[in-house]
Amino acid sequence: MKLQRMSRRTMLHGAAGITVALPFLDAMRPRTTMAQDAPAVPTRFGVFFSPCGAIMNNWKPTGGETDFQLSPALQPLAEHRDDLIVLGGINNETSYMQGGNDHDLAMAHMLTAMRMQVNQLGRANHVINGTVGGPSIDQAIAAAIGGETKLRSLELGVESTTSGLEPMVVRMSYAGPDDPRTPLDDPQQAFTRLFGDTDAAQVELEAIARRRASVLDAVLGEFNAVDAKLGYDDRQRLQRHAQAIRDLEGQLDIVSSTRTMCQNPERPTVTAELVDCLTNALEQEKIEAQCLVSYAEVGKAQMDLMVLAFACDLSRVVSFQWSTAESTTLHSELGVRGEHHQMSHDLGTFNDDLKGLDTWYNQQFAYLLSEMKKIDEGEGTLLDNSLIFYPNELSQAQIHDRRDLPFLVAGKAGGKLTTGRYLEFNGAPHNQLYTSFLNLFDIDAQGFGEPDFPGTLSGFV
Amino acid sequence: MSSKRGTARLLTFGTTIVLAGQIVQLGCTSQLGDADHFGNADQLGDADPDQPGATGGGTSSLGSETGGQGSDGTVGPPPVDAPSPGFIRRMTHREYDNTIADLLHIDLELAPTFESDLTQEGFTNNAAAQNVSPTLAEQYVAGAEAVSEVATLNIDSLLSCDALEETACVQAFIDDFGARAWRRPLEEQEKTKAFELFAEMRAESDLDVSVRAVIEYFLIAPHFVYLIELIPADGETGAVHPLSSWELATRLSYFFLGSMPDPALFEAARAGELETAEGVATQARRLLTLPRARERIGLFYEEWLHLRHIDRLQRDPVMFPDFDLSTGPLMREQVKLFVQSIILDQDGSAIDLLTSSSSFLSPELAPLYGTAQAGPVGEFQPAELDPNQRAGLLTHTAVMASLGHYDQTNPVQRGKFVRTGLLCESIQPPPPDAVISIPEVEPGTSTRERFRIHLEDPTCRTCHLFMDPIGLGFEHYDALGQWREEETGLPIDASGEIVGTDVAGPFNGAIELAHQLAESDQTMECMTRTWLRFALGRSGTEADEGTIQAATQQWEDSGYVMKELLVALTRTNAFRQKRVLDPNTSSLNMEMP
Repeated sequence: MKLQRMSRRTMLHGAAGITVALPFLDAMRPRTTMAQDAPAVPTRFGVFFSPCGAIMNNWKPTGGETDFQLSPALQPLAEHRDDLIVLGGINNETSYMQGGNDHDLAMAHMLTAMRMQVNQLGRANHVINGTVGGPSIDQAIAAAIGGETKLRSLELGVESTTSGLEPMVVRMSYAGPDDPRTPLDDPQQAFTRLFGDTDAAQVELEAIARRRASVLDAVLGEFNAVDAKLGYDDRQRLQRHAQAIRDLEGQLDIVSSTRTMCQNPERPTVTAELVDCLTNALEQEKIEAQCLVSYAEVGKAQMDLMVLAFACDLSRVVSFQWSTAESTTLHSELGVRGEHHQMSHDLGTFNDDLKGLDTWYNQQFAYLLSEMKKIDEGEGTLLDNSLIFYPNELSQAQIHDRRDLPFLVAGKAGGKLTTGRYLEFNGAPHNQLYTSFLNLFDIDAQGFGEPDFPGTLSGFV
Repeated sequence: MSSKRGTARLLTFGTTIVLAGQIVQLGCTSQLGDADHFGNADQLGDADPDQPGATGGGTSSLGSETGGQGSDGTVGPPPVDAPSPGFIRRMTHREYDNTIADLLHIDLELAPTFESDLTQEGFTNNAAAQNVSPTLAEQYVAGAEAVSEVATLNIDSLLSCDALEETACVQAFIDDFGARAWRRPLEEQEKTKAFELFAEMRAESDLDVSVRAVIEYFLIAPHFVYLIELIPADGETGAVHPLSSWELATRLSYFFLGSMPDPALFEAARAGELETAEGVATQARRLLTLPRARERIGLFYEEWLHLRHIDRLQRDPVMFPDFDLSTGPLMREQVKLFVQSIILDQDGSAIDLLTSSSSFLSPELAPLYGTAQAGPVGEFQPAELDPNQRAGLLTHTAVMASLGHYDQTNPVQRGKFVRTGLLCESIQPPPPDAVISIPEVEPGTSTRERFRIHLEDPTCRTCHLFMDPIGLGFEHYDALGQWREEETGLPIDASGEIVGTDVAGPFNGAIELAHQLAESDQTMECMTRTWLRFALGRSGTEADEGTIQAATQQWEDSGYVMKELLVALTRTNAFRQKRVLDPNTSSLNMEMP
């Protein structure tokens, strides 16, 4: 019996839709704050990632710390110049401490700043039977500040889990070794994760929630039962899977703010078909022309959700990942002629295409910053109360260069960071940047990642 | 492995020096299979390259590769066909959809709603690549809820209670559905637990909602999502046990069908027929006749040849005005039809796969092969390709095009694929400071000329010697895989050479190359090695060498008939037995190279 393919809406029912409306500020108040204190606006951490390096001589600003001129690639960010810190001379030094596939090394070290745990290298020197050495910076921050919101962290993407690629090339966010936080590529699913099924009747949602609670409870018993009969590594995996299910149970009651945009949030308009055609074109045997356009559309929807998650205080740590370190994305709607990763190895042919892509990604970043600025949080905007990090895993992609990386930071981190600057660090390890990030979130740390590179990034804060 | 054809085996070219844990690779290739050219990193640190039997990367692992004589003349014990560690593997999303379809006759296509499967060593069914992130855990819950909704639309026909009262009816459903979902009979306490869930729900819900909960429970549980091989209650670390009949049925069905066991396989397990290698082989042969086996064979070659991304192939519109995005999927389909026909319909051999010019064409693809074909668009018909231009898998346009550049051929990738994909060698990546640039196409210069520096510069030559002289042998195939007699006005020179291996020597053009490779024991052993990874759903390890030799030996006796390779794999200890892993220590032994 072949049934009609079911509407994606049907499976988006989630018990998470039961809203317990709390005043926004109450919900945001840190636990340590005394009730009578003025409510503090939280500081958020965001990651905006785009892949495959940049044409560096087209990317680097000119001039000094405050009188710098934006480069052609950064022109789309002109209106946000005073909210930016352009970082030069920061190296992914840890990725040179071990051997392996360059894309594995670039991506796995990008946010972890730590050597991978590997005991086998396989095809094209990709890691097999291995994983990252520790948590990524976003997850380290989430572990410290994420506990008070519905979601400790939220990971969003577009074409970020393209099938047919190796794990280390695809993933950037990890709660710890072998514990990847993979992004949701579908804005509809992401919306449901944040707000639940806002269209279903409350009574229906409550019934679903009760059933789900009973089912998950029984399922967790099965995880426990099988646990003792497995090898060590498999047990670790199943325990993490069980933990994810427990976390789902914990999300059945949610907190929402009183903001209108949070009480009656707008479901993204991108259709499931558009997302499917993008993320699963390979399964469907062909790519429709509209898929190419949808990369930008889905990306925009995800950025809107990132802003919404922050503004409604559903999560204080959100990352957004465009494609992967071996991006197979086509951008023919921009007049770009090839797959991003393939082109990045052929500068002779594709130099102008790649410059166009650098500009395009900065246009997208500019959109995110603009949207964040629209959210007024009393003293300053959402962007002012955020630290948004824009890394790329490579600088010059054709030689897999992981030094002098094209990194941007935006937002004042709640007033702790002075923006409108261009800083050159002459080879500082990116560990130090991340240690500075931790300190900006009042997380006491002497270092991050590989212990060989302690300390903060001098002159950054 | 003995060699009927009496060819000597020349295995390694590089020298690996281990200096305080740092690996310095002089030379370029090593041939201990796919995964092991660095050996085991935690052993590497201590390895003494001079010590007989030491595992020190390419050169010194020669001993275990041949199972006999090492390069220094020492003789080690012959490798044995060793059991695999018992382990769990999450099913791929394709397998998930297949399984739901076979379990409940519901075709929901949930795969697109799950985060994509990644690959390890080229295959999506590799256990190491398939962990369950919080995202996927949530998607599995939503997926199970979607399945249960559709499954209970007609609750009467699902339960088929007839005269039974509700309790007995639901209990019968749990017995039957649970056993099929978990691919083994349920234990009493498991039945009780499922019924308790039902009863809890039934106290306040309708029958269909209560049954939904039961279905969701079975589908979210680890026994469904993972293929699980359990440690027996008395299992001591390192002990070897046969897989249970149910575990073995599951291994067989996911190898050949990418889905749950069919009724006959369940019945064979129940009857104890899988307790002998013969019984397993009998089932393997039967499974190969089922429609899902056809899909599975196609999937193997799609993944092995990295044909997934051919959908996105981009080519210079000036040079290839007729090419568009619709071409790639057709090219891939042609390869699948070719391998399915050779392996399943013709009982063909590995030699046929490498050399046959009988393939399939659609009206759109025919021009790429310099011919025309009538008939409906997108419909493939069997077709004899020009035997002077085409021989086997490698000369199909999908393979040649996917190993090509935007506006020119890619002799490096073509040669590299032969070394890595067909000969199971590892090629070191370029040194970090190497400037990699693709020469621009210029009128009046041949590809061979433009890539000349690869063989002239002594540093480049170290590695390119193994790739470019093979890749340049494919020069008759342009960047789309079309046959050409000349390039920018110059006649094609397709002379090439295989450096090293048991079939070393010069050749002229891809047809000769294909026949040369078909004569190679190394090629055949590599096919065994690759299929074994797919059969077991994991990466290769050094412990597999004995299994590979045993299976290749059996396969050789059949004249390398492909079906016989797949059957031979199921007869091995690696396929039929499990070794108990230490429950308290990571086998990854996370040491850093």
